[in-house]
Amino acid sequence: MSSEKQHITVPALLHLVEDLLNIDQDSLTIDTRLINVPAWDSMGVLLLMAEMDERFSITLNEAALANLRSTADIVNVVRKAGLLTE
Amino acid sequence: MIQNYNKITKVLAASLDLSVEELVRCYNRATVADMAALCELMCLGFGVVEKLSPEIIAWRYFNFSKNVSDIFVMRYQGQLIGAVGAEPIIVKVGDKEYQGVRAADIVVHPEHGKRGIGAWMNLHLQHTFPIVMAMGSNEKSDTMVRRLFQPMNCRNHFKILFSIKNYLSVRGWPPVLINLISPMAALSLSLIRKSRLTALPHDYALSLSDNTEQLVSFFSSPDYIPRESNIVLRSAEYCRWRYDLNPKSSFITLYLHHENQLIGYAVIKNSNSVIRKDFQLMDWDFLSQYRNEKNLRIIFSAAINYSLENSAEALCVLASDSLSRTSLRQAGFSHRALDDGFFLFAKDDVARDVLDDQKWFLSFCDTDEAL
Repeated sequence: MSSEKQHITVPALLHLVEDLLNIDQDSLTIDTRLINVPAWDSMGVLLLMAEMDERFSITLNEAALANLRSTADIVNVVRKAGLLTE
Repeated sequence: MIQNYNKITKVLAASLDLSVEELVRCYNRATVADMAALCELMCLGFGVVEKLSPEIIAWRYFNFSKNVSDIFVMRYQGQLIGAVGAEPIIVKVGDKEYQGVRAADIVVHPEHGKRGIGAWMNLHLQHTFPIVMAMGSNEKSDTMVRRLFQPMNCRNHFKILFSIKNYLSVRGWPPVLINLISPMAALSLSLIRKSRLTALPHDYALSLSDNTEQLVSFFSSPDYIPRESNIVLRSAEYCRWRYDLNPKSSFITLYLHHENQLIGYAVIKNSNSVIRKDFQLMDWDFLSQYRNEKNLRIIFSAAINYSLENSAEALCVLASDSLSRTSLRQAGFSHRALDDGFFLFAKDDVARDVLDDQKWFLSFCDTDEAL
C-alpha cells in the first residue's frame, strides 16, 4: 500500500473508475448514474473499494457505499477526504 | 483477480466493520438450522418462489445425516445476507484429479446488494478450491462472472446436444393433415421414420418403471464394466439419488432385457411443464458386451416411442461419446452444438490443460444435468 495519499483531478478519477470497471474511456461523465452502468456490480464495487483504500486510504463502509448513486458521489468521497485537485 | 484476494478481503471486512478473520468466519457452510432463512434469502434474491422450495434446496445441497451442506452462507449481524452453492466436482486434468466446486445459485440479500459481497463470496471459493466452475450467467451477474472466471469456448468441444424436436412434432401431426398438405411428403416422412426407428427384436423385451431399483442388479453384475468415459461414474446409489430422490423432476426408466437378462437402461426426464412437454434423455448404459450401436439404437428408439406416446414435443439428449453420437444420429436425432456460458477458474498450480481451448472439455463432461 502506498504510504503517501495521492491527489487526483476529476477527469483522472473518472478515468480511474472506467479502468476499474473495464469500460470505454470517456464513457463516464460527472453525473453518470451508476445504476445505468452494467459493470457497476458487486465486482465493480469491490474493485473501487480496494482502489480507494490503496490509493487514497479511504474506507468505504456500508453507509458510504449505499450513498454512491452517481459518479458525482464518488468524486465527493474523494473531495471530502481532501484529495481532489479542483 | 485472485491475486488481490487479501487486499479485497481487507477492504470488504473494513466496510462491514469487521476484521478479516471475522469476515472469513462469517462465511461458512450452511447447516440444517439455516434452511428456513436460506429459502427466504433465495426467494428475496431471486424472486422465483416455485423453483426454490425447501425441498429442492435440501435435495440439492444438504446431507441431513451428517448435517453438512454444499452451500456457503454469509452471516452478518445475526442474519443470512448471502449464499452461494458450491457443489463438489472431481475434475480430471490429465492423470491428476482435483476436488473443485461448481458455483451456483449465488444470491445476496437485496439490502446488502452492490457492496461487493457476491463477488467476494466467489473470490473466496477461488481462494479455497483449486478449480471453480460456473455455468451460464444472467444479465445481472454477467459482467461479474466474466471478470472472475475465464469464459470457455463451448461451441465445438462441450457435450453435443441432440434434439428430435422437429422429428417428434412432424410425427405428431395427424396423418390426414399430412396427406392433405402433400401425399408425397407424407410418404417420404413415413419412409424416413421407418428407416430410423429400430423395432424391438423378438428376443428382446422392454419394461418401464418410475424408479431405478432394477439397476442394483445391473451395476452389480460381473458383466458390467464402467464406460471408459469422462462422465460421472454410474452406480445404483448414484442413479437413485439423481433420479428417484430428485424432487425437482420425475423420471422414467426404460429397462432393456435380452433373453430375460437386464442388459441396458435409459432414463428419461419427464416434463412437468403445463406449457410444453420437452423430455430429456438423461442417462443410458449397457452391460459391456451389449454396448454397441445396435443396442443403443434400440434403446434410443424406445425412448423416442415413449416420448411420442406421451405427447412430448421434444426429446433432447447430451452425448459425449462417439458411439452414442453415431447411434443418436441414426435414431433420428439432429445435432446442434451447445453454445452456452461456461466459465472457469483454476489456480496456478492446476495443469493449464484445464483452460486449453482444445482440451478443457475432457475434464468437465457430465458435471451438470441441467445442461
